Amino acid sequence: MPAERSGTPGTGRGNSRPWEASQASPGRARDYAAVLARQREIILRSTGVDYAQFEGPGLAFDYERMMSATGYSLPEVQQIQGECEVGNTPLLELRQLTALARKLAPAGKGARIFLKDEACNPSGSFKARRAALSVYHARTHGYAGVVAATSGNYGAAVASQAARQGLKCIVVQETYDSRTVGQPEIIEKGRACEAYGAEVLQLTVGPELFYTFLLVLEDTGFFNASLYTPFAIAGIETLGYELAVQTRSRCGRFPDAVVVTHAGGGNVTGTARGLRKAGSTQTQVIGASVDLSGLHMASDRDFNRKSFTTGHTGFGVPFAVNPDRADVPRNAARPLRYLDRYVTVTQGEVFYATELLAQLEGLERGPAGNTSLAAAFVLAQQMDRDQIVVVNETEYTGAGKHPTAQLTFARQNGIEVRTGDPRDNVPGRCIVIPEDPAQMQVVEQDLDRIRRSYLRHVLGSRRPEELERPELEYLAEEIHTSPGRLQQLLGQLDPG
Amino acid sequence: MVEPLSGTGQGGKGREYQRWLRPEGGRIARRGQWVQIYVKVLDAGQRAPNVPPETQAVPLEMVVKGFLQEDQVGLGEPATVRTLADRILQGVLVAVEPRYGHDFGAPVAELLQVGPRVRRLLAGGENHAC
Repeated sequence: MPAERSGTPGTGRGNSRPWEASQASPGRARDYAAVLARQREIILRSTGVDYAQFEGPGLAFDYERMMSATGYSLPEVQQIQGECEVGNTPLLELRQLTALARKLAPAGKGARIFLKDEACNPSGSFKARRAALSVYHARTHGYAGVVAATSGNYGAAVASQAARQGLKCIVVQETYDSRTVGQPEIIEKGRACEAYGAEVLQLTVGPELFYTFLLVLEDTGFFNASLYTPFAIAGIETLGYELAVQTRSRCGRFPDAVVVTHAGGGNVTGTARGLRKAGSTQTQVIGASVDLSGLHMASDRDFNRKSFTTGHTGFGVPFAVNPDRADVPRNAARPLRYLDRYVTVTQGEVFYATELLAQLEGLERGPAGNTSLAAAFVLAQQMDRDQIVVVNETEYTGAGKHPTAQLTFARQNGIEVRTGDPRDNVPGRCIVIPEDPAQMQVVEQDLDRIRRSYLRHVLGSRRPEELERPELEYLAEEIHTSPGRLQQLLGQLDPG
Repeated sequence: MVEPLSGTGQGGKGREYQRWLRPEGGRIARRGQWVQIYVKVLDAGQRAPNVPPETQAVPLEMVVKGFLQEDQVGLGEPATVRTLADRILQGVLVAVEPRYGHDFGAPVAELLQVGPRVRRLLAGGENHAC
């Protein structure tokens, strides 16, 4: 890591934060092990949240108390986002796509498809909602700047909000493989961050990005605009709330299903919480990810063999199984608490859906945000004609972040691109664009299998029969199931 | 005061920065020019234990852009920049006024077929069985 030579060490002004040293600590060891060992202290100082207060009993922690004690109420979030010109995006009815789905569906099937056009947010994605809250929180708590570790739209969102709210911004991105080849979608996001005035640290592949991130937090005293703090998740609740209210006002009823592109879990969590706060309690929350099974997310070789840098199973499954693998001790994004159903689609199907959106609806968006659209197009065909399915987001499109850019890049990296049956898609080897819309499908993911993986992980060396009642109650909430079903799932875990 | 860098990209066993050199924008940068510097963060073999072998075999590297602070620096030489976040960072100069090279790519025949086909379908020209 480069060191701060002069500049502004410890410029987070905040007498309100007694844990903050008056300046960055000179002479502290900067090697990997030493910095990682200071992780807890750095996170505490850079988020202002003492996560320890929510811990216990046993393996449990008080999720709702964390959300209410450190987050913001829905009216507060609405006010903050209103001042930041974030949110209140249009709900669009996709009439042509609905008509096409009805052509393919059995008689009486083919739900109306709506789309929440989140690309209308200042930075072009729903991530502006999270960023508005994180940057607001940083500003009102005396931090001089914000740091985000992200290769996604969140970087541009934080940079955009930091620009609006007068804070400095640093974005730490995983961008290149060891050949110095950058993923075009990430290059574009880095460009957007710089356009909004952020410093962008672009790294090669590897989870040790977190080391760099911690050093930057320590050097600058800036706020950790993590995707996973209670503030960031509270910011998404307005998305679920708005789409529920908009759907009811337009159609006289709440949506029957909302399809959410699922990666780190924030989109699912915030949207579902917002739906509940609007009273839309019967709405099915369906997560959708791009299937990237077989590709290793920390592999220098696999990095540029994928065409999607987010919304995929490489994040979706691990973050469901272990949400606390995040850059904060307790992740406020906990997708298993809210998912009613989880499906996957292929890269080729998402590109196809992106093309349908442009060609039939006149909307050039995505592609990664169209993962949920690809799934919704199929799911609508399974639902009744009088039902409503809402796709909860779009994202801006641009150079690098576009189907033609991504498919050209895929070919340059030895990936076969062809038309055919999307079932022949092989992540990292072959992208198959459907020949016909009837070939689009979703693959149902077994949530119980993911729940068992979650339980296995969280139990560690503890045996199910040792669990105390409060721990069992916590686990039932964590996996969105009844106490009885929890016992069944615990009974299905491998002994030992 | 300069903190010791965990890796400058120069010296030691490595001249890894050479792979990052982009001479297109010129080989010499002058004070105030927008440039890109390189920093080696972790050596190959010193990576986190849980990364796969192909990642373990290469260093963790980083590039960042900013305004050059020295009067004149050549590609491959140590350089200092002031970033857009107003930080002063040091590394090895690898590009002068680096351009964004990403674009919309080439036409994709497999996608060009989609619009006409679904429009025909919607117009009722084909009776489609599910």
